[in-house]
Amino acid sequence: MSNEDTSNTAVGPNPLNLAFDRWTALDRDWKAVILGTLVLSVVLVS
Amino acid sequence: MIARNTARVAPGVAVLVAGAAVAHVLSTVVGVNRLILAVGLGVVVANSVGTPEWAEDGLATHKLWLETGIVLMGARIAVDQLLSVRLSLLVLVVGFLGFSLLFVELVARNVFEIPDRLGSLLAAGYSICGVSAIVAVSSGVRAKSEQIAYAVATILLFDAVTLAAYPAIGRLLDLPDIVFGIWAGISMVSTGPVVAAGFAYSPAAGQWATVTKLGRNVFIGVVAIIYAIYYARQNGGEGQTSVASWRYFWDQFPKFVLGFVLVAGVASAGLLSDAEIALLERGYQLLFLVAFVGLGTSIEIQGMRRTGIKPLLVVLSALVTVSVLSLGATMLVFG
Repeated sequence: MSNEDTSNTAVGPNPLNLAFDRWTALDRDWKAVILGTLVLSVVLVS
Repeated sequence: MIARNTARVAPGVAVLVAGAAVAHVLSTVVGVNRLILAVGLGVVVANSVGTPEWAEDGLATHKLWLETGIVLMGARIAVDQLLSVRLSLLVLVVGFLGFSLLFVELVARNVFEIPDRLGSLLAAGYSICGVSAIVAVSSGVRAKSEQIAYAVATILLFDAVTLAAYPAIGRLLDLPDIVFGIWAGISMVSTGPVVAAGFAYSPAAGQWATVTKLGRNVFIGVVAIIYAIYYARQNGGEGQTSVASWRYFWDQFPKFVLGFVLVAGVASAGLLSDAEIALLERGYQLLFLVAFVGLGTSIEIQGMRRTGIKPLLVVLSALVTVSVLSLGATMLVFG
């Protein structure tokens, strides 16, 4: 067997890339809501 | 992937931040409001040396910073005061929105005899929120691309003119902050210039201007549906059922208003200390400054020449009429 089965070592899509893709596809209004809520959360938590 | 996209946007964002820093420093030297300087700087750069291609994607993010700033501004809103005037404010906003729509439609069709569809684009653009409203109603109105371009150029011209003129008129008439803010929110055109003019006048005026303008913006869905149904009927009912839906309304709705309401709710529930509110205030002031440099770069004086004289006169007549009447009404109610 010279050709080893490498399918179980295949790397899936990078979750960071997936998250970034979803962010890029988001409507600008929702991005503003998320960014604003994030800043608010940071201020509340810190 | 992430690195590539970041590299695409980062240079333009860096230009916005650098412009904001320059406007801030300049304002301490020349004594002119830094928000006005930020817009002016953007206009000067875009119309002299031009904006380089490598910066365009980043410069286009200015609306995101403006909307994020508005979301954070919810922390500074005096909800009690807002609720105490909600009915008068709502009547003024809805009354003048309806009046502006009808005025532009009637003047466009009967006085200047411009095509119905162009008149409708101008009516929606002037009455609600400028270019966003034009884009939102354009599919329902089934406007041609050159009519959209005419309407956009006309509205952008008035954005630039009112941004410079309103704070000056306000100071000349020595208007109280609340009167100036509500007047600007009712009678100016796009959200960016309304926020810029309001905060250039005073922080309190900026908050009233923004709240009033958001009140206008939320009607975009209703107006888009009304236009879509009207023009569908004119075309024998084609597409009428598909537009009269909640989905269509929701698609047009400015969702960042929900973020503003959320932050205002958190602040009014007493969950934020004075220091935290002050921190958020610094945050939105910074975001506005960055956004207004981008707003300036989007004002292309050459492009405004594309507008025809008739669309220009239609919006000018509406602006003068609505401006005078709404100033009188606002002074009467809030002065």
